[in-house]
Amino acid sequence: MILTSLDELLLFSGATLLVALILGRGLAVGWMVTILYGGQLLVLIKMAALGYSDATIHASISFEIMGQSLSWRFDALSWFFALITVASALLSSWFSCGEWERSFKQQGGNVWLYHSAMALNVFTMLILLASGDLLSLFIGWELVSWAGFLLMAMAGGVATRAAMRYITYAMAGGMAVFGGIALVYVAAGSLQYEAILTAVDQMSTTQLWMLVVMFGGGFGVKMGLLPFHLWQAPAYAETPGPGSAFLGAISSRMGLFAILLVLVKLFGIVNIDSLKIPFTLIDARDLLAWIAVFTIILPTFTAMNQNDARHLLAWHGIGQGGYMLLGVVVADAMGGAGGLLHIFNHATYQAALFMAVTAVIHRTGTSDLNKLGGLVVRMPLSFMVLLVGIIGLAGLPPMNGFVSKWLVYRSLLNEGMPLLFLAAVIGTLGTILSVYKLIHNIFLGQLRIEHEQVKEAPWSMMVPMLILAAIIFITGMFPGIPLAWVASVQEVVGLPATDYTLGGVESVSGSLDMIWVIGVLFAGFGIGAVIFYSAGRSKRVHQLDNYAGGHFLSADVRYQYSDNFYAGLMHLIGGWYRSSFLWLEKSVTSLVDFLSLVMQGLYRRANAEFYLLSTALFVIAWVVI
Amino acid sequence: MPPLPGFWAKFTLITELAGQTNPLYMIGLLVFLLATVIEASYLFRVAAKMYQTEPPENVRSNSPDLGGLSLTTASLFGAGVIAATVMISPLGDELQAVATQAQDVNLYIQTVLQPPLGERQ
Repeated sequence: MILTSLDELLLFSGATLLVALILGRGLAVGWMVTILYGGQLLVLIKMAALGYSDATIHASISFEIMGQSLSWRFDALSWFFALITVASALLSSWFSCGEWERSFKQQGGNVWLYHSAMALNVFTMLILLASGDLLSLFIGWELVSWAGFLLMAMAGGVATRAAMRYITYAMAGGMAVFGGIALVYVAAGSLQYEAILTAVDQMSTTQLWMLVVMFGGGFGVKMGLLPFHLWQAPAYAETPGPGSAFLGAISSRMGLFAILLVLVKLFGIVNIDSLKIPFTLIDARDLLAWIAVFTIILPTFTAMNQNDARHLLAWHGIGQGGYMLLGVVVADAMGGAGGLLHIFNHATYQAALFMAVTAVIHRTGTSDLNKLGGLVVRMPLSFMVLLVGIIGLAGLPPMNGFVSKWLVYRSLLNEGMPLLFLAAVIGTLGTILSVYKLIHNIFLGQLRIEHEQVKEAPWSMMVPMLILAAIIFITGMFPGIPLAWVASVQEVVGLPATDYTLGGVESVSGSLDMIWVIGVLFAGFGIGAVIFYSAGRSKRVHQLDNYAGGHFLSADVRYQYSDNFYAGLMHLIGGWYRSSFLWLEKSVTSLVDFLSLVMQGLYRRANAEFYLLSTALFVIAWVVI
Repeated sequence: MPPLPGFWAKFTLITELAGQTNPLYMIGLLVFLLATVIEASYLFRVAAKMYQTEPPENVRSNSPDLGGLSLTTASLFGAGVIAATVMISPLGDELQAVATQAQDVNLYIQTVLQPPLGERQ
């Protein structure tokens, strides 16, 4: 049997898992699995033609169980997500090698479990991405949920509770998908993609609605879409070190992969657009767009209230997923490109940010934003990585996040959706405000006395962080590199492909050339630097040689304000913020909590009368109907 | 959990439920899915306890050390469950044939069930 490239990839990934399981307690296991992730990346590079065409590579293995065919294959969509998955795993694993791993072990962490769980996550994600029919998709989906639990729960305590919450949500989502699959099987008589594509045109509106609700809800849980978002931030934030970087970069995007495959490719945006909501002016696509927008706004402004750097980043991760979905459901060439490109961009800066925060925790022992400050003088490279990452996250030039957000904004304006545009911009405002808190409270201001001896992160951590920072900048300057892959994905899922150039996009509906944008930006910096240095009026001072309000400040006077960070802002918008935003956030949380309590009330209490009554009513209904 | 054996039984049931025209079967379908979520949540609580929490002191001191034996037994059961997946297809086909046969009650009685002794020639 001749092995295809997909066989090689899956075998490599399986071998990585076996090495982690068998040799996980030995020395240098981190380096071994990192090299094996590198091997997986090389196989993906060998398959790079998929990223530039609509070709497909099939796995040699397929099964026939109880009349159902199970097969696996890769196309541009699978390849694009797999590239992000494996690259994130490679850099996260590299980051964990050496010092972090030793420190983790000293603190009682289980390195064997960590590497095994990470390798299992990658393996199961590749199985999901390679699914060739709805049944193999469901198998991959469930495997990914289980593997995620292993990685999230390993720290114990709060992390295990967060993981339990995750798995309950994930199982509920999984069962919604399972129900959807059963309905598709009844309608199409098969779970093969080709049969479903043919059957969709014959489906009634009711059938399509049920499928959109069940699949959208099920996949939305994994994406952390409102109102199913409450599990995600604590689960990712409490995952140990680089594990959170990996999960934050790609894990929840598996939900978006499934949405692209099932809702966009198989059901079609046109069909979803035709599903009108009775007694309203909106349809199912508008509903998804507004869910995406609220997913941007609510978690982003919740991130502002966080005092733990990891939680702040994890909340942002949920919000960024909203931009991706928004771009995809706008579904024109620019919107689709923006949403898909944002998956790649977000993975790069989210991984870099989580790693920078992990490096800070490694050196200082805390991620509490009220217990840090001034670390720029001790960890300048980590500061640079975090700076690059937050510029990307905030969607500002010259980093890659700007390009994808620009494409989404532009498509909203082109398609005549000003309210959605305004809401997305409000989300970005919240992002800028909260990432400023992140960098300020960790790196700027006054260095704490207890951190005087802190050193820069070791090179085993710095190199992956710097690689990510370089990718963020390079793909910001030359977005045409990932846009080529994105255009192929658009073609594969049936969306109009964008007209990209190396510097951005060029079309009648709008153009962007980042090479020019960055050129002008750097020219501005250059002119500023010339003026600054030629004036010769600057003077280097010690961090503690400062004064405020006419008073000289000595080392014992703390002048960094980290607590109540947004006091000035709240003075201006506090009334509106408390009366509208906090009210809305609490309403969503209370609604979900209430539903959870109702569910718990149903199955955790022995209400014999209630069960008897329900059964009797059901039997009567059965007889009558 | 697909593709293990339990999944295929549930899959067969759920597709049959979804194919019924009576709307009450839809309620059955929802109850089925909901019960699976609750079941999975409880099983995960056990899994979380098993590898996260140190066993209580009295359990540790009173339990014989069966580490190797437990691991072997668990591995054998695990391998058995995975091996059973391979058997699902022939077993499932056989059971499906029996079920189809059983739908025609008279034919089933004539061909499968033995006639009473008194009626035998």
